[in-house]
Formats: sequence, C-alpha cells, structure tokens
Amino acid sequence: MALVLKRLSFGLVLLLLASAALLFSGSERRQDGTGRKWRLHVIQYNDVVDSNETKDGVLAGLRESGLVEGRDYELHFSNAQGDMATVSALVDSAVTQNADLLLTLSTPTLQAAIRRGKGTPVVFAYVASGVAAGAGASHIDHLPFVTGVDISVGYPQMLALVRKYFPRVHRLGTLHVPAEANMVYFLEQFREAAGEAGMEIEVVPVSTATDVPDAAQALVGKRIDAVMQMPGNLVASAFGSIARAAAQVHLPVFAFQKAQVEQGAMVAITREYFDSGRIAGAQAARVIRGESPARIPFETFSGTYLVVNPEAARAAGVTLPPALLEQARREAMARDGHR
Amino acid sequence: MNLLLGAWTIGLILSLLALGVYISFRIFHFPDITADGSITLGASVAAVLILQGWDAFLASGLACMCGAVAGATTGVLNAKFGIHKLLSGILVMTALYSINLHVLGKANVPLLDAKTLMTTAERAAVRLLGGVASFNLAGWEVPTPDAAALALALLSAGLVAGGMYAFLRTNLGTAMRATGDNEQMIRALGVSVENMTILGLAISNGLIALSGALLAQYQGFADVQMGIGMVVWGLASVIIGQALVGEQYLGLTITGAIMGSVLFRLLVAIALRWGLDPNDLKLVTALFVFGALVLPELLARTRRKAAQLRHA
Repeated sequence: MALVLKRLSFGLVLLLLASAALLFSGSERRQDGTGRKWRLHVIQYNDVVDSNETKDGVLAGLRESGLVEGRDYELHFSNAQGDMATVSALVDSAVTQNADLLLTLSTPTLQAAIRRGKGTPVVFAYVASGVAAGAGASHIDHLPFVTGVDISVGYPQMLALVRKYFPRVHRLGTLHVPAEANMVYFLEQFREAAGEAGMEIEVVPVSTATDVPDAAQALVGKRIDAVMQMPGNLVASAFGSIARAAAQVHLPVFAFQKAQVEQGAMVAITREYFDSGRIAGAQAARVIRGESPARIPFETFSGTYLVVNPEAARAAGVTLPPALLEQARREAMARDGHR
Repeated sequence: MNLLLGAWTIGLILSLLALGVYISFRIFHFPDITADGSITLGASVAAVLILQGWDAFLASGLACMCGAVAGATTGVLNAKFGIHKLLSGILVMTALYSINLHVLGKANVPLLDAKTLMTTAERAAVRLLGGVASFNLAGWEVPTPDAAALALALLSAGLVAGGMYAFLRTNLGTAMRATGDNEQMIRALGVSVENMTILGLAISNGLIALSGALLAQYQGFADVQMGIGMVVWGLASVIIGQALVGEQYLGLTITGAIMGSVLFRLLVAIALRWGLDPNDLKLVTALFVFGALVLPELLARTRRKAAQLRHA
C-alpha cells in the first residue's frame, strides 16, 4: 500500500498543482452596475481565411455601432485549431473569466457555447444555419440567449447569371464533402435552386484533400457543361486541382469563394464574409446596449459580389460578355469605396 | 472553477479512450488507429439513438457494442487475413468514416435539448440538493450541473477502470496480457493468439466508443470530424501515465492512464486560461507532454546522483 501511494504520489502532486494553478488563476471579480465593461469572447473553431474575414467583420461591426473598445467592451480571442475536444474547454475558459457575451464562429463552437455557456448570451456568425445547428426552431423562435447570422450561398444570383450569359450551360458538376456540416446544408440549397432554374447537378463525393485531384478528374469526365463548385473548407484548400482538371478539358468553372478566382475559376459570386460579420457585430452591440438576444431574430445574410477572371475564361474557350465584365468592375469599385 | 471542473470532466471522459488505447497499445503492442473512427462511431450511435427517444443509458451501451464490433473487425483483418496491424486499423478507420456519416445522416447532429446521461445527472443533482443551482465548497462557488457531470465522468472512469482491473486478473485476462508479452509461449499453452487479439481490440474499441458517446452527450453534439487526432491524445495520456507511475503493476498503470488523461486536459486548460496565443496552443501542449515525460527520469537521476554522493 505504501509503495502504491509512493508510486502514485508524483502524479497526484502534479494533478493537484495543475488544478490549483487553474483554480487560483480563476475568476476575476465581476463588476456590477451600469457603465461596466463587457467582456466579449470571440471563439473560433479553425484558422481559415473565411472565418478570419468574418471575425474582422464582427470587430468592424462593433466599432461602427459607436461602442468603444476599452471603454464599453474588451475583447478576448481563442481558437480550437480544429480540435473538437478543445472546443468545450474554450467555452469553459470564457465562462471562468466571467465572459458577458460569447461570439462564436462556426457550428461546433456555437453548439458548445449553448451547452456549456450557462446561459451567457451568444451571438454567432460563420454558421450555415443556426436552426440546423440546434439554436432554435426558427429565426424568431430561438433559444432566449442566442442570436446571430446565417450565411447563405449566392445560388440564385449565380444561376440567374448563368442563364443570362451562358444559356447553353445546363448540367453542372460539383465536388461534395459529406463530412462538412455546412456543405451538406449548401448541397440541399444548391439542388433546390438548380431545380428551380431547370438545371441538373452532378455530384462527386470526396473526403480528404488527397482525393480531390482524382475526384476532380472523375467530375470533369462526366457529361457536364460546367463545373460549379460549392463552397467548403476542404475544397477551398484544394481548389487548384479542380481548376486544373477542368482546364484540361476546357470546361468553364464557376465558384463561390473569392480566392478561387485567382486559382482558375472563371466567375465567382462570392459571399461577403466580412459584411456577414458586421451584422453579427451590430447584433452584439444591441445586446451590450441592453437588448435581450431573445428579441433579436436570426438574420440570413445573402450579400454577394461578382468576381471574374478573363484569363481563366480564355483557357476554357469562353469569351466573357462585356456586360458581365462591366458589372464586375462596378461591384469592385463599389466595394473599394465601401470599406 | 468552471474551467477546472470542465477540464477534469473531459479528462475523465477521455480517460476511457486512454484505457482503450492502453489495451491495444500497451497490452497487445498493437498501434490501433481504429480509435479515430470508433470514438466518432460511439458518439454518432449514441446521439442518433437518443434523438430517436432511446434511453441515454441504453444508447451509450449500444454505442459501446458498436465500437466493439469495429475493433473486432480490425482484429479479424489482422489475425485472420494477415493484414499488417497499422493497415488493418487504417482500413477500418477509413470505412468507419462513411459508416459514421450514414449513422448520423449528416455531418453534425445537435443534442442540445435531448435527454442525455449528462442532463439526467444534472437534473438529479439539482433535485438532490433541493433545487440549488450552485453550492459553496471551501469558498468556491460550484455550479451543481458541472459537479454532477464531473461525478458522472468520475463514476464511469472508476467503474471501467475497476472492471478492467478485475477482468485482466481473471484467467482470460491474464492470457490476454500474456499474449501481448510472448506470443509463442501463449500459443504453446494452447491459447489462440488470433482470438485473443480480436477480443482485446473489441474491448479496446468498445471503451473508446463509450468515451465518444459520453463526450457527445457532454458537449451537446456529435460531429463526424470529432475523432480526428484522438488516438494521438489517447497515446499521449497512456505514455504520460506510464512516465508518472512506471509500468510494473497492473493497477498502477491503469490509474496512470487515467491520471495522464486528466493531467493532459488540465494542461490544455491552463494554457487557455493564461491567455496563450491560440496559434501556439499545440506547441505548448507538446512542450508540456515533453516535460511530463522527461521530468520523472530527470528526478530519478538526480536522486541517484545524490545517493551516490552520500555513499562516496
């Protein structure tokens, strides 16, 4: 028995030390009364461009609301770096630090904030659907301490554009990652929108980045008139191989993420992540000013803009109509003025 | 206090993963990466069944069984088809990816208002304490639901560890341990090495799936990507545990694996609490693990040196 205790002692001491370190670096006193600073915790699931753009938008939205960082609120940032077991700890850590408001980006962090946040107000962004994530039954009827912004993909705009400028395109192909919650949801919307526009979709599933080149070859080998790639984390990082495969057989590529235009997409209707974040920032400001999240409905952000790549069009043997180029130029100028 | 309770709870839940990895890795010397798939399988099965109105306890039990089937499959691939150990694990893990997607039906299933083991425990605790939302423990405010979750995790880890200890000391369990140590000897004694491996991997992955089932109920969702990299954390816990308590005694090594898992999550929580740059989190975690590994050896060496000096 003594031997057992002796053997265990080192481990027990370490456990106690670590626990004590956590406990005593524990909670700061909560300030009471009006005029106190709100502690905002921005919690990200992974470190990707779209998520970071959304985050910048949230911060901009807070600034634009007239609230001042340092006087009205202070910011804390954390990121799970894609590790699901850390997500809860990030929320616990925020609660321990007496967070007044959790700003979650992505679905897993939103769900952990709801489950572990002990009713701390939550404003979410960078989520395909707050309702699908379990935050409510509808945009108005939702958990009383949660509100935020859904992002939608610009399928209607894109399909209208294709019908107008490329009337011979009827069969569209896309890669699909069934493991990404957002993508599953986006595919449903894509099918619906394509059905309404009288177009057909060919889908090739893919699960890892290394499968993307093969899957892209399989996709362009099908009888399709164009590739129209849905947005997603995996396809975003491996988009180059999709564009290459399409270029080999002179298929035009349509996409929904800005960076993909530089990687060989001909036309993109891209979501304004930054602006979707600004709306979430404004919602957060309303909460800080005393409104209950229960009374703030979820918003669906559908703002998009057009980006074109004439060189990629030439590679696919397509000439972009002047009206389309003009529209892209106008939207780019408008955006520059806007920021 | 929340963070401390949370870190302990997750550490204890993932200690079931560590115990599973302990069986495959330490007892059978089988680097079994089925774990990445079976932890998600456990989470998925439990989540889907609970949403269909199953009792959370039964759902978790069935999740455990499903994990055991996955582990047995890896064992069969290795023992009956002679496929390399690593590759059998990779094959089953890869297959589980699709299976998990089918089980869940989509990539992410929320469990936010479902009746899970955790919510049941939380509600029971609140009722037990006469409806108090938090109580005072030596000056610290302890939220009752968190304490209940921790108690449940502690109970699960305790029961599993106790059961494992008892099992590994039975004739069957002893034969199993001997299989890993010396295949030829155990074969000469008339024990089927193949069957032992299959059984061992089944138990191992059953525990890992149970860990996943509890994790999903604790975090409030099952996600098809939640298993990624988990086997590494399990291995780290086992090895930290071994560095802490040595590897001579069965009961000690089992306790060590649990300690390793909890310590690991505590370290992650400390790194978070001290406001580390999130980009450095993994680097610091690796350094912590490194420290936990070399520290005992370093201490022993200084002690030996001191002893030598005294004798000289």
